[in-house]
Amino acid sequence: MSTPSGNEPAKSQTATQAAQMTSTNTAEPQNLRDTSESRHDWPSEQGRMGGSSVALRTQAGTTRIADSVVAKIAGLAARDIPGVYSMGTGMARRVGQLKSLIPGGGESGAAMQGVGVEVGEREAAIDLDIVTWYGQSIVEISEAVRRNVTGQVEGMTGLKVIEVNIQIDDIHVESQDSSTKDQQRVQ
Amino acid sequence: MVRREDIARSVADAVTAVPGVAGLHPGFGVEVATHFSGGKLVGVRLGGEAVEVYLTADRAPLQAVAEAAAEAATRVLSAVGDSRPVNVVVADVVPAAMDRRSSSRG
Repeated sequence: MSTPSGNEPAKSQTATQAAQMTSTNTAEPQNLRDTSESRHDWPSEQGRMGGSSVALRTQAGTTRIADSVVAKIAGLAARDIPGVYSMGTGMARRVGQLKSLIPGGGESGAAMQGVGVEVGEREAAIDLDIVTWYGQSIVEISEAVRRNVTGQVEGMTGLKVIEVNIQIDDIHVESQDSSTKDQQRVQ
Repeated sequence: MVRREDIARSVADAVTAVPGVAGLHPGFGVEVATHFSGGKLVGVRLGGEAVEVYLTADRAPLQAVAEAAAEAATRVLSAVGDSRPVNVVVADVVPAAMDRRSSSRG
């Protein structure tokens, strides 16, 4: 039995009932979508699953993909781009650790930090918080992340990615201490 | 769909095949590169409003080299449906090119 909330494609602009919120959203709060409350009614099937999920229906049965899987794929695809130094912010990491202590509070792991997803029956919207390197084009890195995340999520799950929102939380500057080719100027 | 990595490599190959182009250049300040899963290609930037190509020339006149490179890049990009303008920057020259009398001036 499916919930009413899973019947429409997710809309990007509004926090509609069609969106199933994932409890693994560790992105900084921006809008109504950023809540860890699940938006469906916990019918018996999905309650047993232990999390919200998207169902792909065929004649022979249903395949379910957990929202956290979509988030994990997106997080790994973003990390694959060399211009991305890390995902999420320090605050999000701490919040994620607290959430994982609560039973049913989510399966936040390193792969999903800085990733928020909104998944419907056929579509997904993805929010990413990334940290890039100083001296590299943010425009280029965002485009590369967008392309790779869209390609991987669409290819692996069959969902249509309608948007990938990227927020640059921080810039990483290579510290002078890490440079090994500096020599002492004075003996 | 053609992978971004393959488009960037095709542009890089087409540009470096142009006579007078010694190689690609990373640019100044902000690195000119195209990022893709697992790596990056330096000297060509596909992200943004225009495609940027930074190169090192080894033949004068530089304007002719730049125009030929732009033309080669545009040809590759049109073939994959990308009609954005191509900005070419001659970021460096091989010093020998400045001493030699180039045949294109003859």
